[in-house]
Amino acid sequence: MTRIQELESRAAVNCWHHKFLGDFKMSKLKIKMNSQNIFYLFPSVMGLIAACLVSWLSGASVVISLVVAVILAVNGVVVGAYLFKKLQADLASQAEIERERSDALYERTESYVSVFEQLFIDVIPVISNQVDMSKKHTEQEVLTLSEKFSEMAAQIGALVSSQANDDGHLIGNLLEGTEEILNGVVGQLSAINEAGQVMIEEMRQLSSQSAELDGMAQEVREVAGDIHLLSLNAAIEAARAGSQGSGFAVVASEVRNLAKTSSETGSRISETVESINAAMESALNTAEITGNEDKERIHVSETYIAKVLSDIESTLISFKNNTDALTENNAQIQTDIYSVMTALQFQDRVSQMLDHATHNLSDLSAVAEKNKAIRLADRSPESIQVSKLMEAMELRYTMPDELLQHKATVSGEAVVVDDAEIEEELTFF
Amino acid sequence: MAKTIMIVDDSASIRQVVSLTLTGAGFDVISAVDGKDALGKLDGVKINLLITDVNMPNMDGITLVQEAKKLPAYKFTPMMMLTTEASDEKKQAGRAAGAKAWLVKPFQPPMLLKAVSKLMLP
Repeated sequence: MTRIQELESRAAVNCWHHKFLGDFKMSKLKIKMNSQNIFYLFPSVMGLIAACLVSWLSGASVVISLVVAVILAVNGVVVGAYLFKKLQADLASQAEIERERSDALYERTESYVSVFEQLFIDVIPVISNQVDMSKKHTEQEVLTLSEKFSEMAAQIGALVSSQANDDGHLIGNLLEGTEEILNGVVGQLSAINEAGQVMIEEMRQLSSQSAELDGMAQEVREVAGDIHLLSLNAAIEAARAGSQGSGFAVVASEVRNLAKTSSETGSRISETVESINAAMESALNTAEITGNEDKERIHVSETYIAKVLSDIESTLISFKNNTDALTENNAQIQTDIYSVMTALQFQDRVSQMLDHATHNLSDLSAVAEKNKAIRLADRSPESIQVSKLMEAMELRYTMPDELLQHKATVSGEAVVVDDAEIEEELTFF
Repeated sequence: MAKTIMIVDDSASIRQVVSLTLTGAGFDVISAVDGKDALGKLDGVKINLLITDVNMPNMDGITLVQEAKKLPAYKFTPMMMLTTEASDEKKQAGRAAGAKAWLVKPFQPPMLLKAVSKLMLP
């Protein structure tokens, strides 16, 4: 049996009791009428039957039997009347006592109920107001809390983006540094280039000097040709003149001059060769110096490049670490923010539940107010309509757990939350 | 240009939480406290999605969806319900009114964003 049924049956019993008390006098009157006849008739009839039987069995005359019967009947009536009167008097006094007691009980009950109803009517608005007030307070508090929270979230967001900006600075610095270093490398390379240019100039000079050397060699070859012809002529002339070798002296003189010229040419050649050697040496020196400088410069460049690479590497590593930490923190913060945001919604649920509770209370209050006007004796259980009231409560609920709680309370069973019955959070149509 | 979402709820804290979730995801948000307020604020304003509570004073969410769907400007605007109600009857009423999704409160922000992104697909 549910609690409601129990309450309803109790109300019905109480009502029957009230009716019984009200109808008591009437019932008593009916009893009186019926019992009086029985009291008068029953002993008389019994007496008559008994007398007739006794007379008939003893063999007495019909007249005597009748007389005895009449005497016995009269006696029965008298005894019956006496007994009835006595019993009636007892009953009446007992009924009076009962009536007085029930009247007193009724009065006490009525005054108790009316005081109880008044309490109900007075207390419910007070509770409702308090519920309303606490609802407003909670709402205000939660609102303040969520405002603070939203500020906090905004601050976190700003912090995260400023960190991202710091990373941007880092990258900017890195790029600037890299550019500087690369410019240095380019400078070094152009210096190498210039040194190469110097080398080329030296080599060009060298090649022009070689051409001069070539010319001189040609000159020497021509001279040698002349000497050859002259010596040939001298030989011919000497053969023809025979002993007359006076012309030979002229040839000899020419040959001498020739030899002189040759010797001069030779020394010029050797001078030129010397200058070529010097130029070569200078070129070699320059090349050597340039080579050394190049080595030095390449070494410096390598150092620069190594530094740039290691800078980039370390920056990237630190950037990656920062990004990892940032991503991790962000994810954590995000999860925290989400869980706080879900938790903050309790206020909405509480607020709705309190709303329903206030409405339920005011329904009860209305019932009490309505019943107060009716005399206790005239009330019927229908005037309360417990089932209807409970149904109205059920209809008001908007949350599954509210309904579950209500049903559990009504049936007196523990709240059973069946996970399978919980509705899908998100439904697409 | 950021897309605009209207949130209608009589609870200030819900409006704030929804608005925080959506602005965090880069949306513009317009808030209204009940159905009537929402209809007043719509008035031709371009919105890409309407999210509304069901139980509200003055005008409930299901009526709001019905009324908004009658306006030519919002006939094709996706609308979703965000409510503590979870009964199938209510959900069917929402669906009949023209809502495209039903999310039960308290909601988890990722769930809301999932619903929003699914409803706002071109």
